Amino acid sequence: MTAYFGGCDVGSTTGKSVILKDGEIVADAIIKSRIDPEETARLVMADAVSKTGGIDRVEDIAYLVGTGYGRNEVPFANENISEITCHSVGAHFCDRKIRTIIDIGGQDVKAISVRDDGSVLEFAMNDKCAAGTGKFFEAMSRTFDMSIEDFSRLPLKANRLVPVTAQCSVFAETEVVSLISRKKPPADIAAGIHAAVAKRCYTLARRVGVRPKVTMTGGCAKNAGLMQALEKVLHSEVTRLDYDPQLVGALGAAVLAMRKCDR
Amino acid sequence: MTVDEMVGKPEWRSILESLPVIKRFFEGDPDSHGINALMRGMSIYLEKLVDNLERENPAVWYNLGFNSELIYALDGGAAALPIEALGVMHNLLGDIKISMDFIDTAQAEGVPSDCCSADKLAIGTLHRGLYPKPACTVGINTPCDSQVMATQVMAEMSDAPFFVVDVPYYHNDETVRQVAAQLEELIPFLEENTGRRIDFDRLREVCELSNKMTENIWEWLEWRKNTPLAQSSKLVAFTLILQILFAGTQEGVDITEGLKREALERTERGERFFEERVRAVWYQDPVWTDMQMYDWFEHELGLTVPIDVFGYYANEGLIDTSTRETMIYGLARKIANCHPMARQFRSNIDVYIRDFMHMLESWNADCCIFAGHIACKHAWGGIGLFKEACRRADVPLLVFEFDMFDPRITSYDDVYFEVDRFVNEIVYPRKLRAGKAG
Amino acid sequence: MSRVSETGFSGLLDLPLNRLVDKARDEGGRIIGYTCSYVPEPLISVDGLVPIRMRAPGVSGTPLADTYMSSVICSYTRSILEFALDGFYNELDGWVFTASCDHLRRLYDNLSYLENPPFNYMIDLPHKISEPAISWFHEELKLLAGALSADFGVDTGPDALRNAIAKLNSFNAILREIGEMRKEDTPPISGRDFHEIVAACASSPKYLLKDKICKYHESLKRNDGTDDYRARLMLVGSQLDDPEYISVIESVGGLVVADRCCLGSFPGLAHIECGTDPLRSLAEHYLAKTSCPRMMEEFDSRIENIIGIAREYRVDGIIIETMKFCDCWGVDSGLLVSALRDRNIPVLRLEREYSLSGEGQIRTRVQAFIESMGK
Repeated sequence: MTAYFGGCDVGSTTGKSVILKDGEIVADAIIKSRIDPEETARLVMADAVSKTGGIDRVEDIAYLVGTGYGRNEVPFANENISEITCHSVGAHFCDRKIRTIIDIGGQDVKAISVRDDGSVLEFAMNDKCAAGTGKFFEAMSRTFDMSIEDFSRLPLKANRLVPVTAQCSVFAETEVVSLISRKKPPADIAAGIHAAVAKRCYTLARRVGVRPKVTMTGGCAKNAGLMQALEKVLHSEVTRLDYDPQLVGALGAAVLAMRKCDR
Repeated sequence: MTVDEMVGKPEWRSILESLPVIKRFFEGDPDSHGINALMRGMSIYLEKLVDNLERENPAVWYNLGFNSELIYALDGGAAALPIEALGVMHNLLGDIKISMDFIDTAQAEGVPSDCCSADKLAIGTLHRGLYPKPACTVGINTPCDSQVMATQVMAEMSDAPFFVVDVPYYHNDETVRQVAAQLEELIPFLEENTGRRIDFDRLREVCELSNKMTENIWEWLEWRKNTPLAQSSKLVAFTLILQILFAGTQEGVDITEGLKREALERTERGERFFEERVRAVWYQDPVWTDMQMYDWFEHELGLTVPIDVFGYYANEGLIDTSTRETMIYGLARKIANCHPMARQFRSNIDVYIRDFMHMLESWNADCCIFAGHIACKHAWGGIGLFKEACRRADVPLLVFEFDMFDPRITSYDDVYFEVDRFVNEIVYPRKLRAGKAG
Repeated sequence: MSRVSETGFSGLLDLPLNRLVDKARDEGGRIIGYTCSYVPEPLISVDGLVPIRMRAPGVSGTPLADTYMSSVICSYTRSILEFALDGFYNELDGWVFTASCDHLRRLYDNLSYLENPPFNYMIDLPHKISEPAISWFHEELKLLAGALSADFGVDTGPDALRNAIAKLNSFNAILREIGEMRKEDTPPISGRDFHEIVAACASSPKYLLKDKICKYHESLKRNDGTDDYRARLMLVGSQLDDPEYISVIESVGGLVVADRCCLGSFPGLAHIECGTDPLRSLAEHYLAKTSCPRMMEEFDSRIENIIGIAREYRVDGIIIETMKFCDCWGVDSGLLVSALRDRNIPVLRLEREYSLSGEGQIRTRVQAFIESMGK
């Protein structure tokens, strides 16, 4: 029987799972995180397993790797591996030429420099600050009273860029409220916010060295405004992966699970 | 790197091209002797720098706690290069985007974000390889830890011999003697590494020019004690830059002559472009990144700044030029006791508070604006004691955080807002109540 | 390897001044608090003086200290000030500071003004290790010795100092031997436990701990040790006095086998050579051996020292931990990282606050670091 390999990425805002068979992705799932990371893992794995058409139970997976902040809590996992390694391997699996990854998750931002074989050469993470993370964008979209999807597209309509200087999410919120009250166009303010976040990501990426190809992973990689702002500060193209960037960590975990059994 | 390669780099080209334009712009107002002299001085500094490099004269790198006399005393010429120079020039006069790039480069190279932006400017410039290779480097431990660390990066990146001047903690004669003893060692170090001599006559010439500049500064600052202040607030902070870049040069004398003459003429003419309502001692750091902010303070708020930490030059005597020893002692005293910041920051908080009280009284100020550059840890570490001293002296005090070289930390709007509220809601009404306001 | 403390020393770290400090006081000892490795311990150990390294265990915020020092100052100094203002150090008979950095200088100023301790002394500290600098530091120590004699009536003469140096040397020799057991393939002691012992010794009157340390040393000789680790790590950084920080690192499979921290085996436990003038010997030793990035001409020797230790203890990678807002370690670590990478030594930099927080982030980073080494 052909073996199935799983990766389960339990993040702060979402749980993700990917299942591989014969080196191909056969199922994946994303759910909102529950309070209990173990429950998130169980539900998101069950969801993916049900889509495989080949297995019925998580226990049928030959090797399962847990990752993300709840990586210790994944039931039936054979091993846990840090999300930094998993994002590196996952992005490299999608595109062998990826050498730099900017991963923006719910609670943190990471820059990863990737070796030719997909392993981590070096990484940098933001320090205990929410600015530029998924949580930050959620808070900002609330300030604008719109959905996060609408907010992420807002900068695309900007005519100019209103500078947002505050580097901390709490101060940024205050600053944005004051800009809105001064009747600055929302699209221009949004462009300013995205530019500021992109700048932070770029600074972080420079700490590990920016080598092409560069890609973005994590939930915020779906943010079109941010992607555009990042390309502007990088002065180069950011590669869009063929696969959902939010699932790249779980994919990397599944790839590592598969390699465990290849050896 | 050849001179042509250096001046061909956009970071140098931009400054070399923009400075003459700015200089001509200010020449439109012939009464502004101060700013005109400053601009002329900066142009001459750059011309001499390029000229020295073209003649293949040695370059000496140093950091901002050091004064330039000994380098200018090297017979035959040497290029004096404070490592902060290019970044600061871009921040003040050139392209602020370039200086932000320097800061970002430093952070990308691992300098923590909470470190001083003056040092990030220097470290960024060093990482980009924008300075000609030095014959040797001189690092001094003042005014703060961040400077100590900038000298380490300088030493590592220069690949040239490194001499440390270490100013002790105390504020006494022994400290000056300690520094003098180190300067005695520094002279042969400079001679050996640059291949230039410092002879007695040349040293005396330089010290006399340095004294003339110092006297001019003292006289100039005297004129700024007049109420109302007749000369622009923003000029005062330049004392520090003068001591780092021009001590011991004719340019230093000329610039300070200009500053003095302008203050004198404007005071005697009783010229006022605005109504002075409130005078403040600007304590801690100038808003280098936008000096026009001071114009706005004057015109919109009637707020003047007759004196600040960077401008205040303590009167501890001139260099006695009678013997070589007296000259070295005088130079050491300048570095340890007079150099702005080095004087107030390296030691006990008492010196810091005492100097403030002296400025407050002598320059007839109504209040204190503590413009807290976020990286000045020695100042923030004593903020509670400073506040209590102000409270005891019944001095209104505004405290805010900003970054003197990085406008991305606190926006201009926020600084305006804080200062506006302080002047209009606290200091001016208080003066009215006390019957001291016009 | 068990991550639960088995050393029997953990009870000495719960309080700012532990029960052994009380005991020493009851026996007539005078307790001198200090905050920096440049303070020459033997000089404040003479004739009934008892040096205690100041800690603020369990500090849960520094609201009062923040109003005096703001929040952009290193959290170690703020924590110490907070505890001082809370009265946790009232039993101290004196404090001795060195002018090591901006933060400690201001801690001294605040403490003088706000608490006015009966004895509060600052000694200057040169930034280089030349002959004149040693003489200068020697003069500073003479002044301190004079002040101690005047205030406490203690004998700080050469014999008393020689005696204090010998005692410290013999105590540190045991700690050093314990530390050196970590060179083995199967170290009998975890990095966490070793750190706990060193911190406990710095927080206690040493003469009351000597027997206990000897017994513990003997017990380790009978311990087979562990090979249950993925990577051998070295920890480099400043003031760290919380074993749980290392516990977090070790929870993902790193074993800390060597360190260069202010409270670690290097350089704090080095043997002090005592010459004809013991005070001069102390000046030489403390200036040359303490190895803080504040020293201005020492980067090359510091890096060689770190690499030497890393080789000796056969470490796989180095973790540099720096306290937020510390310029000395902050800027230096950037230079260290590139120098170590140039020599192909894997290195991870972690920024931290004085009290342990963000354990999840530390775990993720350390785990990724170990994975990136292929371990």
